[in-house]
Amino acid sequence: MQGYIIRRIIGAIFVVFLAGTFSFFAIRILPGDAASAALGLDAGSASAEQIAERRAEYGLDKPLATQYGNWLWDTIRLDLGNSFTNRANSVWYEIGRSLPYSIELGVLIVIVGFAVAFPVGLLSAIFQDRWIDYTLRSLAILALAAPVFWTAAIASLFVLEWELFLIDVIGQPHIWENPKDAITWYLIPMLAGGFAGTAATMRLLRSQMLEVMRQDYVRTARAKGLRESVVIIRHALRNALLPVLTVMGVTVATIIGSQVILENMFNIPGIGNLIISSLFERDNPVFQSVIVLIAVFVVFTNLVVDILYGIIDPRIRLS
Amino acid sequence: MSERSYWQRMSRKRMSRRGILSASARAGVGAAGLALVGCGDDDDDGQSVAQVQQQQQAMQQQAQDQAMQQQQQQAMQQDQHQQAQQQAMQQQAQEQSTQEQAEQQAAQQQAMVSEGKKYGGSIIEQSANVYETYDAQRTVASPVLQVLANVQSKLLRFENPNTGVLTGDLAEGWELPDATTIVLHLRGGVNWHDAGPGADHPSAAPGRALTPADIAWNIDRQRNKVLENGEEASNFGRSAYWGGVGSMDYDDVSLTLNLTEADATFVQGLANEFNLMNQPELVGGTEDQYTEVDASKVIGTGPYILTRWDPGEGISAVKNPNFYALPDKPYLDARVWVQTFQDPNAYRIAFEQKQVDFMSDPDPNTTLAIHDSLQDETYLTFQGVANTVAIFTPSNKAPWNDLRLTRAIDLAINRRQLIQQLHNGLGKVSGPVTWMQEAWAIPQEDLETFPGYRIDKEQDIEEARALWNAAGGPELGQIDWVTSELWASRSAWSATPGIVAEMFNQAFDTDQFNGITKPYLEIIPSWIAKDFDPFFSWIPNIEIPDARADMIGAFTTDAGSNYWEISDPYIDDTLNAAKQELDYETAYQMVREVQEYVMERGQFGRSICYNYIYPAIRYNYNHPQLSSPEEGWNFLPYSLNSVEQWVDLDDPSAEGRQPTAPVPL
Repeated sequence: MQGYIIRRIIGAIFVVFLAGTFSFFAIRILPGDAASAALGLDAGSASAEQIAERRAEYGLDKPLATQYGNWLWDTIRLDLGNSFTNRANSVWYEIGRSLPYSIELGVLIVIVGFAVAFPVGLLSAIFQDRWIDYTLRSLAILALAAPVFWTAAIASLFVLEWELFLIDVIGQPHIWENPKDAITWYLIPMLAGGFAGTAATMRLLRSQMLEVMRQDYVRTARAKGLRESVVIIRHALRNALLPVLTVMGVTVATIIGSQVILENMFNIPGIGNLIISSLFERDNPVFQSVIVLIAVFVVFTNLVVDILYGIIDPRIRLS
Repeated sequence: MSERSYWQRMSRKRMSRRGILSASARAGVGAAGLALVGCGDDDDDGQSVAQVQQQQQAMQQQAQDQAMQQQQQQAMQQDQHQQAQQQAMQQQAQEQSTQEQAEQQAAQQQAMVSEGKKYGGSIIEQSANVYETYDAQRTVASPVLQVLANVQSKLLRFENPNTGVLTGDLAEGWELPDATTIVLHLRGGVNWHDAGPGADHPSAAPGRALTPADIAWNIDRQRNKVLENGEEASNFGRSAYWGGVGSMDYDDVSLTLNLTEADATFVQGLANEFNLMNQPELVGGTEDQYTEVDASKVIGTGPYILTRWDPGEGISAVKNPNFYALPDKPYLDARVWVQTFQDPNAYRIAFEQKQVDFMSDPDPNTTLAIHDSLQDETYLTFQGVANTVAIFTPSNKAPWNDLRLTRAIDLAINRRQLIQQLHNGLGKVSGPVTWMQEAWAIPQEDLETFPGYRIDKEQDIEEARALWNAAGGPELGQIDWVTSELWASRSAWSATPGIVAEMFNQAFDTDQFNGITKPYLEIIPSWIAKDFDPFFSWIPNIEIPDARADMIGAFTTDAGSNYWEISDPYIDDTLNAAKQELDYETAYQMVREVQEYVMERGQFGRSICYNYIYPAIRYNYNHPQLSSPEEGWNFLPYSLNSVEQWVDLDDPSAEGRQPTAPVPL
């Protein structure tokens, strides 16, 4: 097990390195120079000296290999530098300011997702091929088919048209500061993101439940005279959850992908918003650092899931 | 049809939001709903384009320029009489006792209220997060001005930025004894802010009176390009302008600028939005951190005191309790800026729920659609963008130094088609002087008669093709036509390189033209070195309405911005004479003649194309100074609105407003 974990950690570090390298070159390949892009529409008014001075300040006047080497060394030392856009702020400050919002939204999406997926998947399996199963499966397909941005946009239009509640995109309250305003702000993104994440989990759980329910040990449990609820929850669900656990790592990546869209749609100043703004503003240090951060998070979440899976199911560990 | 009704009709007959929702519901979900939303947009585009094609011509021909000409005449008359008026005002002000002044101010305030302008309230707007510094003198970024124009002051300000009518600011009057001397009569009782984060900075000198020496320090700093530590800085954007000041003399109440040469355009530069005055102690003490923007590094004499400036987070300013124009102005108690919304959905929510008072999405269709759904509560305003769009041909080097080729290119540019393709019809063609500098520009209906601008494009193309063939254009081989990467990086404009190349290929019935992109990093140095490839992009912002400076800079033999190495005695003589001409009517005529001369020669490769227009929506309670195209195109309107904008919180549209409180003093 120890060797397995070490091998996986080495692999994870390599993946993070590749993601960082990709982000470093990707933002430089894109049209638009960072020194000019930072000036927006007014770039055409800048003199060559001003642009050159700015490039020198950013270190963009150095050869690409030197820039890459500097970035790599600084990143290893966790020295992420300062933002190109908000030059008074370090990248760590920008990340620190954004991360709580993303964590809040991410947790809410996960809660919604699993709160819906588990009962729905369970009910669908229990009432297989009955109207409730068809209805729930149709809803799951709908959630899979509807892109998260569409669901969120339509929901926003409904809220605006019927003036249902305030979506405080300016105040940007944290849940611990102003729970009421924060929840109404997060409501649409957490539901849209949660439903989108629900579908795959729900369908997987249903199929696993159906498979497990046909197993001999479930039949045995029933034959022993156990209550149906005990059979389902203690014997069937626990075993059906194992494959679900394996997709959790993928689900995390999906949720982060949704968050990039949802944070921008609702002006949530989280990590997803930071990625987009840093990309448009060619804020190289912020963009590269956030990509690395997300890569670290996704890779190590998957690693933890794999390790947990090995712990829960010894057959995996042995193989 | 008036121009106003043209712009208002731009957005009519759109699919309503409720229509979209009900259609989505009927059609089901997923792909069907998506398709419906997409179809709605397409329909909108089609209608806008069709309207623009038909109506833009009418607009350009009719009411606009009649009104503009009247404004120009008024502006000229005002300018001619301005000195006398200012002197009279100054004399009158000095004669009045304090009590009389107070009575007069109270009466004026009452009059303004009775005219409908009201005091109090705040405005919340979006601002792009492009704050490269807190020092207006060292930036080209207009969002910096959006903030600082409310906090700091200039010597003069524009009463109307389009026509160039000037009014006093730190100088309440001015005289031009001759073409090389400007005497500024400085306003008394102007103090630097005595509260707020800037006043608390250890380097600041809060509350002290503004002195002529402060102004002289600001001018010296820019014309010498030298910082307090003795280092030279290359980023003083107006150093060339201030370099025109040979010497200065000042006493307690006036400042005299002695110009190195006669320059009648100089006085307008004093109202340039970038020429804000810094406090020497504070800016001098923080110059080494000039890129680290926060409210503690800013102090001014303007109508508002900056209480927060956290780039990427929020900005706010509150009314200066000691502003010199009190109690008349400003009208608002506070201003708040929120940072750019990345997504139209967020901007839409903020605007429709009245969390912001103004909206102008980068996609004009979004703005127009939202206005359409809120027609009873909102109105549209249109802002001309000061970033002029141009196509530059290197006429200073072979093969483009053949005037026939330069003319062929200028004729082949389908300016109106570009406006349609890239800006959904929201824009107007510009001659050598942009239409936004309306007092100096060739009116649109006249412009339509010039080669390259004709409505009948076929005639232009026929002539262009003949010139191209006669000059051996087909033998030039493959031609790379550059578009700036920054331009092409915008999703709505990403097809521009291909569009420009195809425009020329079609005009010349060839496939020689290829569209490529290059960064400004390559374009600008090669442009300055006069060794550039043909390109399409923005050119530097116009900063003042007086077009003489731009024309002289581009077309006279020794000018710094004459990247085409144009040397024409007629142009030199006429523009240099215009520069010294104090009579505006005569100067307009001179510039007009040069414009015509230049256009007959394919603009010598400096083919100005157009200035596009951004629509914006405001609630009915929100009153900027210039609220319609007839009044002005809101070209750098920041300092104007800083004192003139007001809100009517009694208007029904103000119901349900969710104002964000500014950070208090």
